[in-house]
Amino acid sequence: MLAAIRKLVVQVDEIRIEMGRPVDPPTRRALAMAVIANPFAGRYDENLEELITIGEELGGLLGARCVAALGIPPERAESYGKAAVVGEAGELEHAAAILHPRMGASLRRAVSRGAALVPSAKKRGGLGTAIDVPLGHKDAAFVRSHFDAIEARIGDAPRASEILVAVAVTERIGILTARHARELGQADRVILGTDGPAGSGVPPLGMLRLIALLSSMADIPGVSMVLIDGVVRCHRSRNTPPAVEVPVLVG
Amino acid sequence: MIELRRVFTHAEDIIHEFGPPPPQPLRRGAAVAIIQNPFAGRFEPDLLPFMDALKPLGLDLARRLLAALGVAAPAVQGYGKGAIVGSAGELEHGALWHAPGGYGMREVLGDTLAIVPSTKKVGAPGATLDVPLTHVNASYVRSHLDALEVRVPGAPAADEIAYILVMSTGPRVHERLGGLRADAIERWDGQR
Repeated sequence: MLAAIRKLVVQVDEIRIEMGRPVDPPTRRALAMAVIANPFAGRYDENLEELITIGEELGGLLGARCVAALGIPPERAESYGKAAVVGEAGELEHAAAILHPRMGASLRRAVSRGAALVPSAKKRGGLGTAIDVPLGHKDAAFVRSHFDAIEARIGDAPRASEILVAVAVTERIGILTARHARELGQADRVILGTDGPAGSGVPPLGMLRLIALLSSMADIPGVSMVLIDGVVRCHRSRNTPPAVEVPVLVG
Repeated sequence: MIELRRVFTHAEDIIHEFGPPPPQPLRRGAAVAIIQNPFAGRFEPDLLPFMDALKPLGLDLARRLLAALGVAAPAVQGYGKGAIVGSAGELEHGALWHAPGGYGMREVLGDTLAIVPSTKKVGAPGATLDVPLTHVNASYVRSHLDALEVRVPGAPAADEIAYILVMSTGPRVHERLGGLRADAIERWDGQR
């Protein structure tokens, strides 16, 4: 490994009651941080390739640590975020080199896909500097319920010639949401959405996978209507079992 | 009786501190339970029933910390405990943790002999607490005299208490100050 790591920290924050209201099941958020030596401390270099490679390494390592701390398979990761604090002998571009070119790809492998941008933050700081790591849904950047932030801080880092790198991951709630809807007898109210970049074919595949996953909790899925841009394109499919209830347009 | 609002775990591997890395990184960690303070904003003369009620929390938190560290009880060589009381409470509410936190952790770890060192304070959300650590069987083992800074972003609120347990799996990463060694404990009286 290229990164010279001095310290690795993993935290899990489990919220069970908020404002007197039980959060059931609890929200669980993991944060993994690495304190590394900054190879460019104290000097200006045009080529930051070494930090770009370090970012790739750390995306995988810290992502895997988060998933392990949550005790979940990678595909149950729901949202993610990343951040870096550069010690005083470094420049903000060092954080950018770690975070932007290649960290996202290795982090996505650690959490199994991720169509949406990995939200990020960076700053220069000293020992104990806190940074708020932004969190967003990993498959759809505009999911409002998943806009969040988690504070990252290590008391003795970063030293002047170090960089603190943080990755945050939260647990998937799609399955839990579907389960609750079923218990309420309102499975028809579950809406799945994605706004990951189109054109790659990945978002539709992801949607099909999610539909199959959630449907398998109850029965074999039956297609009863397809709407695109608000227009009914077709009704009951002959290729899937007949739906028990036929949807009706009411508005 | 216990309203558990939030559980926070912290685990860290110290690979080195600018010296020669030991064969195994030092793993240390903390588990924090954020509970509603039932005595917030008033003076309650009789706190003892609540101390009993906290016993299951001590056991639960000790087990969560072992899980977060990913080790079994025999691997734990140092421990400590602490409390941060939100601003509508008093220090005595933090002192409630001594028995349930200490005995809970010792029960989960097996037959440890040393007193569990502790510290406490009244603090704002995000306050830090430096929790002392000592060897689990002899308080005077110098290599294991340590401290872990614990801090939960956003907690404790005024009507909350943060109860803390900490554990470590070894001595300070570059310990070299002599004194009583862990392999030279003689009296087995919890101190030496």
